Amino acid sequence: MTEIMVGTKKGLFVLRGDCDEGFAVTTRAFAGEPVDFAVRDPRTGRVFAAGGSPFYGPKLWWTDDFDGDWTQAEGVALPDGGEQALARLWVVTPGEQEGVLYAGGDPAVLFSSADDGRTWALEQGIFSHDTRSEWQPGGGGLCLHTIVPWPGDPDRLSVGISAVGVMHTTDGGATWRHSNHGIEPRYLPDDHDDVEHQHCVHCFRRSAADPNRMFMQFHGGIYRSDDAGDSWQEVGGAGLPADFGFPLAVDPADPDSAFVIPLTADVDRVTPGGRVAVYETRDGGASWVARGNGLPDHDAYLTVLREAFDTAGHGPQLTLAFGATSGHVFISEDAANSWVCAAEHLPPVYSVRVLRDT
Amino acid sequence: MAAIRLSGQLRQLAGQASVAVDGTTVAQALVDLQHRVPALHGWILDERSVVRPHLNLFVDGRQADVATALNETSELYVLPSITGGSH
Repeated sequence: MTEIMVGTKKGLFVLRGDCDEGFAVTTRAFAGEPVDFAVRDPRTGRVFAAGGSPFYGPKLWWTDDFDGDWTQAEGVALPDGGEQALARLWVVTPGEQEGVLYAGGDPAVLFSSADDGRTWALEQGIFSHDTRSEWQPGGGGLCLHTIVPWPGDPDRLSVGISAVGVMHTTDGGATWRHSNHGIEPRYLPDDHDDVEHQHCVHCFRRSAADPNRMFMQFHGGIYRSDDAGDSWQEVGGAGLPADFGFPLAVDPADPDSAFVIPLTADVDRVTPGGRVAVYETRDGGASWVARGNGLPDHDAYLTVLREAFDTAGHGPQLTLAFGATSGHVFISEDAANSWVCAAEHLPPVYSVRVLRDT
Repeated sequence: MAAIRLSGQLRQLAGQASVAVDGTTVAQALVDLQHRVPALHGWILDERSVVRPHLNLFVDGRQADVATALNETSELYVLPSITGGSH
């Protein structure tokens, strides 16, 4: 049994099933309200949902039982009496230590919890960073949207902020440094000065098999790092229909693997040519192959957002799932070789998280 | 004491439709409401103590803002906007 947790413009939907028998909506929560992100912590089974009520502000909720109540997590806010308010929560990510989770949001804030998500605290290292006053938002706000732990080392963490770039800590969040060397922000004028933190990173992931290996979907271009994100080199090109897109995924078993869902361009954020495909590399980004067997291949102009793509498992049984603002959710349980439509009439999809063998 | 009338989710969170509060302005009353009903902390006022943009305030039937004066018999309604179209 596979579980697909779908955050949408009109609530949380949980799909359960498999590719052979199909999927069905088994839970709906927060009906009518935006759920910007939802995830189950596989360590505890606890489910988190980031609600983005336009009336009452962003809130983080958790439950251990879909048939029970949701509890509002404590501490997910900026300091009272300050000059800023939390605008949105973008992502929740389990950490490396037992009970530890991280949450990222706008304006470029990172929260951490040490009690399985009941209570949270603002990470001051990023909030008080000495370059913060120079940070500029992207179209979605000044969002801290990507949180990538280092397997087995809780002191090492990388985050992505639009339009700031990649930041690393190696001391558990006390200090952070920018790390965008090698990334070319082509949206800047040709004669732009060197920039350290004006980078519209869209998403990046780290290889579980080789944590030094990372892949990034940038605002324009796909990049790879072989040195834990200290430097980046553009790899996208051969076989890709476009270099723009939002999400990116990797096969944890293969450090040379990455999957992207290209969109035509930043000025036309739909699947190119009316054809939906996930593009796969197995050679570190040198070449890419369309994996669209079972996906719409004509008249399909979908938009897949940053958090609406996820994987579970690894190797030949790698499961991949993604959703679109059209309300479609697609899933593959054979490493992208074939796809089925798990849902086609949901509200606009903001996030997808998939879990196998639930 | 003035009274704050709650509806919808705010009423559910507070567990009551009306809360008696101290304060001679709407701003003071809303801060006092958060102290009396901690579950509402952050729901009406954000971290800056700014009223969230899609909430409307009415005092004794007239649209109000945080500077509006209250008296002992004032009733302050906190109502979500009637929205549509883009949502």
